[in-house]
Amino acid sequence: MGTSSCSGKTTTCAPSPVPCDLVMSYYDVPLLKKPVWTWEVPLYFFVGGAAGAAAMIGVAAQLGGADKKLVRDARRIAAGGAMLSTPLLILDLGRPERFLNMLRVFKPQSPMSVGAWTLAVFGGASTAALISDAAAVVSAATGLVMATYTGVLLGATAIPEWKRYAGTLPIHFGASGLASAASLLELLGHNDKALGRLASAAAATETAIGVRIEAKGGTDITTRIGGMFSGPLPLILRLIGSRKTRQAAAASQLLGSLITRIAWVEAGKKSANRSKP
Amino acid sequence: MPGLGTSFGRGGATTAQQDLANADAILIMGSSMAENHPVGFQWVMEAREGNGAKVIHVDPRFTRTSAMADYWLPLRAGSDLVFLGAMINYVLQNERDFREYVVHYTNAPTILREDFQDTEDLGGLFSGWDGTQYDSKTWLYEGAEPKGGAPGMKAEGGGHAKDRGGEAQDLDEPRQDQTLEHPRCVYQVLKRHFARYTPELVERTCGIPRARFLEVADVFTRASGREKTGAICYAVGWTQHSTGVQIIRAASILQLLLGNIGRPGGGIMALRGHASIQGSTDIPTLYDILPGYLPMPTHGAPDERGLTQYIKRHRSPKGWWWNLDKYIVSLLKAYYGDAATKANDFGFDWLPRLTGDHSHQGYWSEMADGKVEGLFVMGQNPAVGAPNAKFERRALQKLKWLVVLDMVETETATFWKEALDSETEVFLFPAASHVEKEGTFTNTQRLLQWREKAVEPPGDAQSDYTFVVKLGRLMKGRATDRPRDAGLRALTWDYKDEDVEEVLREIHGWSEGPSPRERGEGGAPAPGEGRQLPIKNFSDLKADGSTTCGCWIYSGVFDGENKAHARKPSGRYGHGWGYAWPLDRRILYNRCSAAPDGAPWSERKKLVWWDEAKGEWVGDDVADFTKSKRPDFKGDAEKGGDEALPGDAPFIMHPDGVGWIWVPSGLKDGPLPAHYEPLESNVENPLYPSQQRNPAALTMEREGNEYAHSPDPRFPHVLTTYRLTEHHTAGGMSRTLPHLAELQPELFAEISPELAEEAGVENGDVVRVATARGSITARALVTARMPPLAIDGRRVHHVGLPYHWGPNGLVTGDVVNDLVAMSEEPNVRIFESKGISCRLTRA
Amino acid sequence: MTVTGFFTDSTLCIGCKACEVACKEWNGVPDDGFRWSGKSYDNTLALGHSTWRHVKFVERDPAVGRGGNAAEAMTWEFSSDVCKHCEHAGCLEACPTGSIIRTEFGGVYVQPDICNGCGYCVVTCPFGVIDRRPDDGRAFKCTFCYDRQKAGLQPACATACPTGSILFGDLAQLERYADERIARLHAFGMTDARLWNPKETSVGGTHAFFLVRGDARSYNLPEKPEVPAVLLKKAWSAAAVGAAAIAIASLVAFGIGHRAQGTGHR
Repeated sequence: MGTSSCSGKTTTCAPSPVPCDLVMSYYDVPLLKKPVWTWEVPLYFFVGGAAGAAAMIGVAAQLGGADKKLVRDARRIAAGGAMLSTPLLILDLGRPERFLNMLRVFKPQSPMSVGAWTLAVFGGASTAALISDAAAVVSAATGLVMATYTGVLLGATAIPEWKRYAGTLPIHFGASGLASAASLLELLGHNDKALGRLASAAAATETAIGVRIEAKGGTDITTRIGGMFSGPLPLILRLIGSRKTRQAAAASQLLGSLITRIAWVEAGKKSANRSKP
Repeated sequence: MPGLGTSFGRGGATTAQQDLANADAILIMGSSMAENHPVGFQWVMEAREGNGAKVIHVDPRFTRTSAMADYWLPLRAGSDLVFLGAMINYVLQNERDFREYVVHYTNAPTILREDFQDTEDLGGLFSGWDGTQYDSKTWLYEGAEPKGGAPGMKAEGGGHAKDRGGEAQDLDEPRQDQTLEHPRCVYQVLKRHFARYTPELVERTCGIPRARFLEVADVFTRASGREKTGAICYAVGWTQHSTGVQIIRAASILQLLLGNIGRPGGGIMALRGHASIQGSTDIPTLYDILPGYLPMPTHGAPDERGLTQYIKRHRSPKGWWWNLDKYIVSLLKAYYGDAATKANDFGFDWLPRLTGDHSHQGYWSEMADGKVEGLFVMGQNPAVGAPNAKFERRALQKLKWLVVLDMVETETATFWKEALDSETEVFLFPAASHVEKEGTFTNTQRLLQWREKAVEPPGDAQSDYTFVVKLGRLMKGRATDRPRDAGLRALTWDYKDEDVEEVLREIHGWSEGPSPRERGEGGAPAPGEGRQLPIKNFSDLKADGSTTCGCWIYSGVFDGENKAHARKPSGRYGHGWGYAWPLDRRILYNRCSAAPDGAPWSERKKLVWWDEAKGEWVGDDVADFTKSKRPDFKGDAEKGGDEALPGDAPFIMHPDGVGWIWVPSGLKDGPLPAHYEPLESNVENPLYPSQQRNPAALTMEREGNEYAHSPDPRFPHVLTTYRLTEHHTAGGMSRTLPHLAELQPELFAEISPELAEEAGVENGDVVRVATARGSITARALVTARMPPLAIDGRRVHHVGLPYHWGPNGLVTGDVVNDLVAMSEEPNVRIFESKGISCRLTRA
Repeated sequence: MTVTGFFTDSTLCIGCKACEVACKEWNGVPDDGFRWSGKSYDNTLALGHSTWRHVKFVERDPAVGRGGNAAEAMTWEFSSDVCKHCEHAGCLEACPTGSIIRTEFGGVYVQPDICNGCGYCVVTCPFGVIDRRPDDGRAFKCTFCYDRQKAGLQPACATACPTGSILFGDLAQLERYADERIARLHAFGMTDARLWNPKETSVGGTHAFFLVRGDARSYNLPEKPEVPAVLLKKAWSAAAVGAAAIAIASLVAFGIGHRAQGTGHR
């Protein structure tokens, strides 16, 4: 009988679903479907995260008696971010004209539903907050969800690279949002030290998260680059403490936050393509 | 069909697919049934799951069928006869035959002439070979008188009509030795003939290890005797060989020896290539027979000059073919109506005559020589599906005009795209599909099923039927007064454009009686009115011109109502759903399911038996026997036909009433099967070294149809072509449909990892496959399902190519049939597409 | 209303793909591209937005040492895959529009007039079944032939299956039958036959379960599938921590910051 194995041969046969190293799969066909999200989604994560954190900074700054301009700019970032977020989300839909179906039901078990409702409330509140302090509180409260829920959105899925970090991503994304909000305010010319402290705290958190992720096996090069710009690099720059390095750190964190969001979405796609049963 | 026709009397599957569920073993060979007959395969699965039946698949490739089988034996393409011969030898050597059945129901005890010489004596030839063809006189039973001439032996004689047997000889009682010991009885001759077909030879020639063969031979031959039965399924993997008919004959011999014909779970299932192929031989698209397997008269044959001579020549004194006169006259009445009278031999002279080989390849060859002016192509795509398709596409350039009637623009309609200087005028008519017209399909088990029209055909599309009716009308309109047009003038052609049921009614037939006025009941009826009186079936047909019948074997289908349209199945065999010819018998020769005394062989395997109280044959099927003929009836030699046969003669079509292990007449290449290598082979014929190929097969060798030598180092590999579940034959109906095309979107060549290594090919690479006719490219599908075989110490590789692709449609590919030679098996003139010498290289 | 299910018995599948084609014909599903895969006879490779039934061709190399049903040779097993219609369905729970619902037959159904193509179901299906069709924008998967079931018919795939490999009917009855079938196959000596029906995991069982041979992973069926919802608690907890941290950090930063500033002014 001439049947034979493909093992140890120079030729390859039609790839067997039971490869010679006995790693079980079906012709290496991915088990899972790749996320269909395109550039709008990571950009929304970035914008929405920054906007949400900015709403909180605005309230904290007001309570702390900071510069009124800072409070005003923070609220503007929140409202502007919310306004930018909505079209990004709509654009990403397969059927954009049906965006309002998002508000057809409220499903607490669906992070996407929670996010849609949060964005709706945050959008209204952050806009109202431009003229109302009471609305600013609502804006800040929902802003905190805006800054963190996207981590839940990715974490509570079947995508291996995301679900592996389900307990990390919300904090990671929260820190990233906070860093980008504070950095943006700094770059707008506000030099309230509280911003620097917040950004430093975020950078420190990001560094810690980076270490944690590496300890769990790490991800790919892009998330690492995002992590570098978000964590160690700005942390060092901020420790140096000059105005210039502060500005550089702010730019680095802003960029880092954007790269991080893009990198995680892409890492998810790659891991889906590699997924095994 | 002559394989089954000569062995049993009728050229059709002896069983029904549903009956496979009753088998204890099923041998599938020359077929990938699960692949090409997936719906019918459910009953194989049922047998496997329900009875614990052993399923055996013998095939060079591990296919979807092998995956479902208990045993898979890969054999070298073209060595089938060695395998089956060894099975027969195994039965004989180990006395596994069902002796009581063999003695009573086969011609094993019949004694042969003294002057017969076997292939074993003549180095691969039977006696009677004159250098180009056989004279079959020495193959007759002892004491039988030849009718003169060499029936069915000449090329123009065709082969399909010789199914009936008995036309070569007139015999009364053949001499028999029921102890089977007479040295010239069929049993002993058979034993000597197959003695060298041993397990060792199987190992050497087929590549199946001896022990494996013995294991499987044991398993299959145990499905025999009173309590058990086994079935054999085959398809074009057997027919498309230069020895195709004899391969089927070998299976018939095996089943007769095992007593597996006409019994539940037994039989030979001839799986047809596609819808209504059985129908197209029953009411033939073939050149050499008339409807109902009546022979087409040959031009200039002295014994067929008139109707009387024709009848004398083809009718047999005993058995059912005694009735041939009734069937031919009723057919002539269907053709020529009132113009057919006793005075003019019912228009027998108007029938066309055979003047040569007008089989597909025969006329295509003439087309290439510029001898054919115009061609209608309907329901076929020869530019892709025919052997040596490239040759055939070139032949189309020699036509003046070509009419293609099809649902899609087939490659046949666009052949000119590769020959832009072709002057052939091409007309493409849109055709209705099977759901856009009504009519019948006759499926693989002789079952006529009526099809309703589900939707109107789109645009100008019309059914083939409507097209032909209109064409006939135009032709009749142009008939001249010249004598050669007399038949055309006489032809009845008053069909309506769309009423197909009207045709089925004519196929069923009627008798003509006096009109009410003529019976004195008054009135003045319109011409014809009231003259058509109903008949029940072909038993009512007469030879005096008072009955009309378009195809006698179908007669019964319109007994009162359109029985093909019946949709209320009941019982084990689904009687009440459709109509199986003849007379709704589902299992042919089912008298065999009872012992000679009329009692079932066993409770487990009972089907039809004699009920003494009722005085008739009863059971789960319609008895394939005269209902009231007692099992102990001796036969009335004074009367002809069926009444001359005794009550224990189940094969009623045969003049001696038994199954033919030995075929005394009707085959052009021998009374018994003998192994010859394919027309191209790198293996020397181990049995008959001086007779490498079937001597009677035609190679049609010519420019554009060249052959490799045997052996030929240029072409070391063995090519076999086949089909996939996902596609339909030449692809016209599947490459154009996205839901099918996507499932197998590209031509591939299946090869073993070993061959891939030798050729330096990886899975997915493009490879070139070449034969003496040309070469094509395909993607390599490297798989252990194509094992190399050890043949006589050498490693033989197969290359498997499915043939569904061509240049048109959603998915395209090279035409595999460009590689296949035109060739003709002697009896049915089919080409050889299995076991071709080729070479596979990296492209 | 009866709770229904599919029981797909791979040992009876002959790989004819009639289920794939019948599904597409009935449901008007477009082609999924014309790509030759070189992977056995499988050119569809996976379920997706335009393939709702998919026949897998598990070509096992003899070197692995599995005696198949064609002894001493290789085995080639076929298995028709379909949406699992999970008891706890990731897609259904994740769908923000309520487009994905559970029907009265127990199936999971995407209402095509509501889906807005957010794509979240795609990443929450643990079996890679549902996907968004690029040119249409909506997510598609097996409908469990909801329309046919409503009309008292079996799904198109089960109707087309010639060998009874795809059985459809009352789920509880099918499960009982499957247990009998396994016992029968084991008695026949096919000891590697087993059921794949993830009842013990968070998926909580499915309305489409399978009889496979050996390791289910060679059929691309995960051994321990989990519905992503099990991660919600962990993720939302982390989100709460994150949100609280942002809030506290912000308040503290500005509180401290201004006290420090104030001290400086004093």
